[in-house]
Amino acid sequence: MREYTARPERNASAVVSVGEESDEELASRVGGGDRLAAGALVARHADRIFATCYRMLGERAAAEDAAQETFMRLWKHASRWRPRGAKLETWLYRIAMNVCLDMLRRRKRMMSNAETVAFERADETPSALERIEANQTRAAVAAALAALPERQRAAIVLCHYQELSNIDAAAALDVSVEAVESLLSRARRSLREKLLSQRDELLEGARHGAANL
Amino acid sequence: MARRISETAEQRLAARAKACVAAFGADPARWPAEDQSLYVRFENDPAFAAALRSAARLDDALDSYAAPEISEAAKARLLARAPTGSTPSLRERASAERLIKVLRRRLIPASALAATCAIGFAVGALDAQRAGAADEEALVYAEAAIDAAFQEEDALWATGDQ
Repeated sequence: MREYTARPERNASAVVSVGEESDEELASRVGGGDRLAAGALVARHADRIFATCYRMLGERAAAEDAAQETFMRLWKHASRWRPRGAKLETWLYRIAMNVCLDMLRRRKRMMSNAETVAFERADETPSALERIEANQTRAAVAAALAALPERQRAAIVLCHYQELSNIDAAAALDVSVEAVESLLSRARRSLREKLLSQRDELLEGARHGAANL
Repeated sequence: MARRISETAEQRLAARAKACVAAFGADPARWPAEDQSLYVRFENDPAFAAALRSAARLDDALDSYAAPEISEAAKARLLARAPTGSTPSLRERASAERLIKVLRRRLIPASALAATCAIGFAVGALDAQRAGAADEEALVYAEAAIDAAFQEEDALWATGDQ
């Protein structure tokens, strides 16, 4: 009969070096059941993965679920991690994007075509006029991002917000570098048109409002 | 002729600089490393400078949309699911993979293997094996089922390795 035994935990001297180890070394240790190594990976990447998911999904609870699923997949595969050229971080972004895109598709199926994805930030400022005020710009940006096609939004989130290189973003999205640039260009064009036309509309509304005073 | 070729090359570079602004915005630090020198080359060109100003406004707007921080409770939940020392080792998984190959070749057609994908059954069988209550056959099926359940992620993993 085959025996399954727990892999021994690393000794104290190895634990001390957790903060200096590469992601790939930590992943290998996680595979052996080293929870300190898992903690180090969470400390390094949870914020960025969560922020990515938040900007893709637009709400905290969904972003936390997506981050949870992303790390679950990391834990599942940690013992088999073999970094042949790919960075663990890029792989994490790729998983996070897949999780988010799946969630968005499920969400879309549940909503009628007439409805749009409601972002928390957009909901906070229902009045169009409010959006023109300096600190409300982000609500308009959130709404404009939410209206983008999913892969364009993903490209903006990875390249602009997470500051991935075009090569890493291409790996995370499983497309060519040229495709990433195309997604980014189209996304930025749409965002600029939406935000500028919105601003013009709001300015126009504000002028009418002032004239009626 | 040489001048015409040179002009064409310059136009190509200008077009590339414009494409970088359109895709990556006004900050050359965000551009691909090999294109960053184009920023200095064209920054005094009026059309390019106008494109930069427009892109910078969009960059500023995008930067205003800050994501909140993940809560400590959520971080703790991420960590709570991390494997413990009882996770099967790489050697154990490699052994399971060898068994699965044998199964695929000799014993179980692919459709039957997919049908064994029920995680509950797999985990139950594996636990039973660990407790010494099941025979070698149960272990084989349990490992095969676990592997089948993880195939989707395996594909991603393999691609990420390239």
